[in-house]
Amino acid sequence: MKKSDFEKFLSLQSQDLYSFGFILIPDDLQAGQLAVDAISHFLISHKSELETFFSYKSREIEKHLAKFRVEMLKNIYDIAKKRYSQLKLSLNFEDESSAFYQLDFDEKAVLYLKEKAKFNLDDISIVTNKTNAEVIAYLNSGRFKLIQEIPFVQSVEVVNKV
Amino acid sequence: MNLEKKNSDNVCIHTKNVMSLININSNQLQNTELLSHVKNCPTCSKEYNLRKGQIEGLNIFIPRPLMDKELKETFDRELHELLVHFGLNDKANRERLAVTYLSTLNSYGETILKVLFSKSMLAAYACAGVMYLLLKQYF
Repeated sequence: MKKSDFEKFLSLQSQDLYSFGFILIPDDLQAGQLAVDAISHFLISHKSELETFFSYKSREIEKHLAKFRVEMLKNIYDIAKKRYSQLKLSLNFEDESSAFYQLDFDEKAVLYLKEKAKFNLDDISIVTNKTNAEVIAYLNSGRFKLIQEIPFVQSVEVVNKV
Repeated sequence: MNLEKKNSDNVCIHTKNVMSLININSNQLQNTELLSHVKNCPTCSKEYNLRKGQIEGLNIFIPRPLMDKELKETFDRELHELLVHFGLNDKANRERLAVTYLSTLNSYGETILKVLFSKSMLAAYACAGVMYLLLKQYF
């Protein structure tokens, strides 16, 4: 893989990183900064690995890129968790009135990763540093709270059978 | 494990496991006994469709905010600088190497010129000139 392709990969990931950052701290600048900081943290911690990474074969590269994606989202989660408690009182977050943003920090993270990022439970566990059981608990509690806030969803039924 | 219906009153003890099935990603679903049961059990099937519908209905309310164009350009610029700083940009690495070589050559050139035009060399040039003139006169 060329280094220019790696830059394109990171640029493509930026939307996912920004989205996840915004979910956790609903502020444009904070979310953008989270994305940059997550990538910086990743580059620093994987400096030696990246030196050999560019000589790997394509199958190994794909596996590593998937792993890198999970790690960068984990960095976003870890950094956002620390900043959220500091920023919560000082910033007026937009869209805080919407039902989703009323959820707890971990509920939002888990719901987003499951439904929008389409992660499996193992990857969500890695990102949020929780056990599978805790992830499922947050998933269900988040869904339950959303359903309570959005009553019409309670009667929606899928037409196609299993 | 034999997953038969417990009784015929539209109640099935396996209904409570429907959410577990929904939480597994579709690419991880194999022909599990639970999946086969849910397909064949009307109660579980109805519960599955209802829960699945609720979750898909909730997805609309889970936002996916995107960067605007200006923020994306700023981010790409910062990303580029970050990669240059970490030595992960080939063009910047080549430029850095070229600058290093050229500055080394430059310092060599400066040293050579300093030596060639130093006082001792000028004195040597003067002596050589005098010797040349003397030799030319007598030979």
